[in-house]
Amino acid sequence: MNDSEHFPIIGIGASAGGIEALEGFFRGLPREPRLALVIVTHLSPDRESLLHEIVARFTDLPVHVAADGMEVENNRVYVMPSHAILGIHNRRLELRKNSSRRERKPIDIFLSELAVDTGELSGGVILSGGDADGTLGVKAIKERGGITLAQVGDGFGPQHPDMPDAAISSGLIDFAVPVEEMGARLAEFVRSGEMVDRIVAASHDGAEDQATGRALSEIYGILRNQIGHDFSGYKTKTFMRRVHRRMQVTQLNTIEAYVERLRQEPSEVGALFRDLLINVTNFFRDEEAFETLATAVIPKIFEGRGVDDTVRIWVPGCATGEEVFSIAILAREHVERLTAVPRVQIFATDIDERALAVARAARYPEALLDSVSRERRKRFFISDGGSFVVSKDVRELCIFSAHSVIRDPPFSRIDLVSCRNLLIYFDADVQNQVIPIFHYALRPDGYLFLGSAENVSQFDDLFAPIEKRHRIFRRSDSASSLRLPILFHGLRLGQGSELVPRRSPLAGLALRQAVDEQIVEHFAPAHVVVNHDGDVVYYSARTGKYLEAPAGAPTRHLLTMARKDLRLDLRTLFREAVESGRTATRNGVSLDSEEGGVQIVDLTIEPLGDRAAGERLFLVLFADRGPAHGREEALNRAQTSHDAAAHTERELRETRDRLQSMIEEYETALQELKSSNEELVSVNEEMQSTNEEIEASKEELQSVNEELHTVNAELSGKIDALDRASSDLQNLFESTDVATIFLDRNLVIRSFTPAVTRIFNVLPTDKGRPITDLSSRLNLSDFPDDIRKVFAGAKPIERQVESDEHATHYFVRLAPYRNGGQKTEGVVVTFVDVTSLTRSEARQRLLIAELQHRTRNLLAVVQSLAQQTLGKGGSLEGFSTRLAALSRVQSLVGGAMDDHIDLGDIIRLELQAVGASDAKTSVSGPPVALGFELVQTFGLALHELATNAVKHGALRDGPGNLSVSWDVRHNGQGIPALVLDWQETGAARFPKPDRRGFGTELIEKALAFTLRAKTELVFGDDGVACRIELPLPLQTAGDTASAGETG
Amino acid sequence: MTGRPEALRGRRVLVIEDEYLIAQVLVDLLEEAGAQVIGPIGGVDEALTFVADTSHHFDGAVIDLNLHGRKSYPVADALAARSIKFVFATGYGADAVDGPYRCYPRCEKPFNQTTLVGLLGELLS
Repeated sequence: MNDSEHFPIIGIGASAGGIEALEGFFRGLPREPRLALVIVTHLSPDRESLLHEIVARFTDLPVHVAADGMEVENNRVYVMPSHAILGIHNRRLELRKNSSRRERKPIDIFLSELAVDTGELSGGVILSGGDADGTLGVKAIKERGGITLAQVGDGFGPQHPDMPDAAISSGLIDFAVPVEEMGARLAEFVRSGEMVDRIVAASHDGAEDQATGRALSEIYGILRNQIGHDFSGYKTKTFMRRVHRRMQVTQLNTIEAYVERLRQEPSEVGALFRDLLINVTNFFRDEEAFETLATAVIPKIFEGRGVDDTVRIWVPGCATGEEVFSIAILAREHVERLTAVPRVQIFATDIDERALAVARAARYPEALLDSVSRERRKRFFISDGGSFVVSKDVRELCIFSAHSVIRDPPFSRIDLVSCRNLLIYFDADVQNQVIPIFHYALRPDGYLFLGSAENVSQFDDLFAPIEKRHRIFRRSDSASSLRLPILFHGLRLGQGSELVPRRSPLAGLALRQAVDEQIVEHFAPAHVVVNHDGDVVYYSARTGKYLEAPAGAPTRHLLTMARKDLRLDLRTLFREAVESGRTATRNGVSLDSEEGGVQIVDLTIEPLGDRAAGERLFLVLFADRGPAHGREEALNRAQTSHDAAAHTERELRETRDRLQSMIEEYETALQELKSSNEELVSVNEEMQSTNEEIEASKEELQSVNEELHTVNAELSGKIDALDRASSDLQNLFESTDVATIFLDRNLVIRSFTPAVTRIFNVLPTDKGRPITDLSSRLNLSDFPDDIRKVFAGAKPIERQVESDEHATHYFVRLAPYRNGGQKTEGVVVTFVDVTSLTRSEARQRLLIAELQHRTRNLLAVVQSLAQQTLGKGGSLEGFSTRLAALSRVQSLVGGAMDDHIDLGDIIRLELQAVGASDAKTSVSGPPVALGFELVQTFGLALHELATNAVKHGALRDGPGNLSVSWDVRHNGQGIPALVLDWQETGAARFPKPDRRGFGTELIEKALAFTLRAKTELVFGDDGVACRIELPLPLQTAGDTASAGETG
Repeated sequence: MTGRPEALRGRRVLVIEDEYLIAQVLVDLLEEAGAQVIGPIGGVDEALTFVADTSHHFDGAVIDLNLHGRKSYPVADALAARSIKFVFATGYGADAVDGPYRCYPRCEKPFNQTTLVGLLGELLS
């Protein structure tokens, strides 16, 4: 394994309510957790899981659906697919087909394989769920030194707390925290793991950190002193990891602080010890010990047992049942070799009902079975999906029940008590209580089987070792059973260990006991102790005179054994004593002795001692009164004492006989009752096994329910997403201005956007009607053909259509409507309103044409100017200034917002261009807008006037004024005309111009021809006077559209 | 000048053009080619009146397409009715001429003497 693979893999088990828990979990996770996560849930194999999509919403980490052979990479999330069982091997995920049916324990399966594969870098997280799945998985992880977490309530809590609670109550969870805090714990786990690697690497390099080394040896020392177990032989890395785990749990940062904590708190030493020893609960773990058990103990406890006998085995603290089933398998194996098979009962008890539920289910992931041999696996387990179920013949030997070894009364007459690794959880006081309890529970010669770190050394008078190495002991009979009542007395009062008898005070007691025994033996009358039913539980010496063994089956019943003469009196007395609870006495009962004499006996029955609880016992005393007499003597004595009653005596005798027969009938009835009772007991046992079966099916139902919960949560997540998408779509429909219609194969409307109402007369109720039924405002004659083409060719068709009155233009696109399988199911028709676009295009075309026209006209004008000026011998300068004037006018046209230019602007620009001073000119008139067609010629004419004035007239240096004024007048026909006066005055030496010059021609002819103006040009002595009357088009301003259509 | 100066010798050509300066160019150009120029006439109505009068004799015509904002198609129709060949003079591209009149020859402004004279010469020969 190289460094890049050296990151932890965390398995997350979740079931019902898991989605919310996962959301919380990912909220608490760092952005880059430096580990990989694998999510395992209860899923139905019949449907696709959407879990990965849902998880991807919670986290930025890449989320993958697990695939077979996929290598687990750092900072990734993997989700189990629904149709398979997830395992892991060599850090690669494995998918196994779940052929039979749904797997009920997928979390156990994955976590246990993860534990085997990844060891100390594994982690298990148990989130909300309603089963006990995951408990065995975290157990496996804990055994391999991984980290385990389970969800606890935080106000919002796990919705279904059963699953995490089961894991927590197994005692194998390092951190029982709310989901949001798990991320932080995992981050610490990653950090401490890296730290341990560094420390271990450093120690390999021979540069071991001195402080750490010291701390470690100190921890070894503390453990040795307090527990008596030396761990210095352990692998440093393993040991360090466990120490760091405890440091993490106790939230201590330095190893020194932890050593300090160990010194101060013995309970922490115990916790560390348990963490170090945790790996002993698997099937046949510690195989040699089990092998010894099978060879040395099991045959012994079956020895001499017949078909009617019962072999009873007790496994207290059975947890999740591996130990129980291991022993049951051994028992079953042994039983198969016997001819006479006794009943076997294995009582498996634990205080944790949830652990018992796991054990009752008897279903284990394969990874936990690695120490079970192939033959045993085949013989005693049934493979079911990814897990193994204990076979029925083993399972039915075991009776699981909730029971506390400390609080509840123990089982009794047990042949074997197997109690491995339970005592390590108890402190010395409790251990001192429990071991005598085992002693009590066992039959004489019963066996005790303990874990490898446990011992009974303080009670070696109670148990004798058979196999010291494997901690197998036999109950020894040497000790008096006296201590048990006292023990129970003490326990019942719950006062702990103070009342447990110690060895030293026993010496006094023993003396007294010896005295008592001697007195009883030599001086006390014969007596027996019977229980409530009249069964003798204790005989004194010399009772043979009063009791004898009856014919038939052996019995201990007092009244059956009593000699005939005593029987009636004893019965009466016994009933009296039982009913009243007081001493009952009958004096002078005569008893025919075997020697033929008669013995007078006083009978006394009294309740025994101070027994506040438990079985009531009675002491029956047989006290002889004087020696035995001969028969006659006795008869005489009887006659003397009872002479008067002789007659009565006879009657009494008859009555006694009748009574006797009734009693016998009664006893027969009692026998029948007993056998009925036995039947009831067996019926009860059957009911119990039925109950267990029902419980198993309940669990199955529960797991199905889990799946349904998960699926339901997933579905509602998906529905939420659908709702959002649908609402997005709805809003898009409402807000878009693009008319869109969805049609199916028969041209029936599926849905449409509101904008469609502008094109078709369509109402929301028209969904489901064929579109051909609707009238359209557009010219859609090709529409049905187009739709058919789309169906045939499956290619979009685009075309432009216009409304019937040409007012609106639409761009229509018909695209195939494809379903999930890319099959054309209908047509999507979109209408985009391109009216304004179409108009703009038309207008643009017009403008370009107009521009071309104007440019070419302008060039023709320039051509003309050139021809008129240069062609007729004019100067280049004259041509240039005219061209300049033309361009000035053009610049005004270019700068104007529309095609209309103010007359004042033209005049002022022209005068400015020729350099006329403001002092000599006056320009006045109302604003008059001239169209383009007027401006060009008019501007050229003004230019001619202005250059003339500069050269020869009023604008020359020297005296002279120019006044330009204009007005708009209406002639008789109501046609407006511009009247402009150009008046030069005071110019000196004004020469007569050439009447045939271009300027004159322009003013007199061009204006008249082109603009239909009337001109009057007078060359006066002091300057030019020119009047131009120009008819204006009726619309002089404003209508820009006219510019494009005229000219 | 250029082209075939003799091409239009003795021909009478009517010029219909609303812009004085451009009309002047046309006149000069045609006269140089030896033609006798009639006009110019600047308005549609005047041109129609002139053409309608059969006492006016001329061999061909150059018509500006746009006369004071009006299309000169009626004039073209009238000329065609008299079987007089003519050339459209225009600043617009070919697209600007309405469909039915696109069959008539067109001369684009500014005028190229060779083109115009060549065109008219072909028409009138």
